[in-house]
Amino acid sequence: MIHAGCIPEPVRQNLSKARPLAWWTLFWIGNVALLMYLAMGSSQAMKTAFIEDALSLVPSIVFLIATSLEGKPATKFYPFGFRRFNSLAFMVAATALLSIGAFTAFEATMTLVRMEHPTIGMVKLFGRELWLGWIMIAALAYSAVPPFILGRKKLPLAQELQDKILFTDAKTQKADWQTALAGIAGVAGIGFGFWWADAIAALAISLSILRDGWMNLKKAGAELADGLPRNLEHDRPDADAEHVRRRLAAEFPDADIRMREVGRYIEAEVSGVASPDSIDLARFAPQERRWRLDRITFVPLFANDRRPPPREEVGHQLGSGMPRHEMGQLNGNSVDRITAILKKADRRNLMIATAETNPDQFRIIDYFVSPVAQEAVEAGRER
Amino acid sequence: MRIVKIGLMAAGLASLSGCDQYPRDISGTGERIEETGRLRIGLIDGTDAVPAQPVLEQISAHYDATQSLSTGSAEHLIRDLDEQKLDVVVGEFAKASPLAKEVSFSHSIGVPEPADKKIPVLRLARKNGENGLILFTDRITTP
Repeated sequence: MIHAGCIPEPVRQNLSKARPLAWWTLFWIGNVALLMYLAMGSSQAMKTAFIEDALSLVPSIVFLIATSLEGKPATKFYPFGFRRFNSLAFMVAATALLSIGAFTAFEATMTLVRMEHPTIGMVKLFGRELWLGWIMIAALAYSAVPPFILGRKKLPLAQELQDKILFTDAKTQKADWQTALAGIAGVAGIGFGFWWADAIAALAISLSILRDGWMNLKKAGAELADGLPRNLEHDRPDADAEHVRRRLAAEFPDADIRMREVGRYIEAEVSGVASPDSIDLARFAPQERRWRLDRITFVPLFANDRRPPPREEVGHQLGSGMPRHEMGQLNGNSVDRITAILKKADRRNLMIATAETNPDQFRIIDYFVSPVAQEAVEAGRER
Repeated sequence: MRIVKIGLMAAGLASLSGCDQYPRDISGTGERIEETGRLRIGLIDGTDAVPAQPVLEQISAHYDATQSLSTGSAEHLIRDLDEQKLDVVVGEFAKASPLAKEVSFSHSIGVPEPADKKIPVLRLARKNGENGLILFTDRITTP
């Protein structure tokens, strides 16, 4: 197990490349946002651009915060360390991305509904009278360059680090430069007399941003709720986690194996088997990224130290292998009732049981009951 | 391939800078003036339009049109402008006028732009989005 606060060397190396990119993002996008703020005046379009730019700073900020906390040792009040801040930051970053999409979509829709005809006048620059549209196009083109470069640099690092905040940040940068290009197309379209060009272009881009934001928000929610580790790009199970599960299942075929993700790290929980004296994590970890498997926890079988009767005894007590029609009653419950309870009971907290059913036989292999579940069975209640 | 597309887009935009018809009017005011040969001017009651006459002459010359004048209240004429019954309205407007959201005001005509945005001065009001006409009139009213 890697102790909380210790960052594996491959992660440390990639973080040393990723963190400067986040600082550059703050510098460049902050610079663009500041220019937008100073130039926005009463222009609604420029206000929208400013809010989008300000929101797009959020993923980089939370990435820097989460990665600076990741290496901190556990404390009395944070006995598991600070790694889960990464999951929390991912949720914040995903929310920011979704907000950018929603905001862009709302503004574009309102422009279309109100049928606003945008006015772009003249500006005097270095003694020359220019259409303000050219200045806007130049500013938008300038604002597209930093996110285009930074986003492309972040993406491979996000894959290496399995860092969902950095991945969301890269997606945010993509949203930034795409929105800027849509803005250029929109201003150029207005020049052609198409008042709807700006809004249509922004609406089209916002749909893609909304999709990315929503997908990331779902993944962030799953991560915080101890869901199965998800693939970085798609809402599918993570390949590394699947590798760990397969290896553990081969080693402990009778165990119940559960996986979750804490930031970039995978944690596995094995229940239903006795804990081995020692275990080598590397045997179960993915070859390419051994650091991803952070810990394997073995969960004791029985609450309150209630030991199960030997398997044979259980079989005898509960009628293992007995034909269904001979089972009759069990603790005052019908076989169907017991079957329903067995199926519905929470196997960890209420009842640890495995059962096999077929049309002819009802065979209980193991029947280990926690006190609460025992009450439920005896009372014939479904818990 | 994407870089080629961006390059083509940039080249296309650059070529537009030399185009007389760019930017165009969203509601086609300039084209209509050229087609009909008539520049429809609204003059707000009580406005001394003499300082604006050279500006109006430049506009009608640019579009090769004759001027037709109608007078009325600001509210009435601004509505006509919005409904494209007029092409420009001449009157005294403050830069910070509530009407600034409904129409686009030119620079001040005949007097320097007042520092106080609430002081009304002689200006042209143009329909929002008529970017070709707005650019042209901005150029000729720039001090």
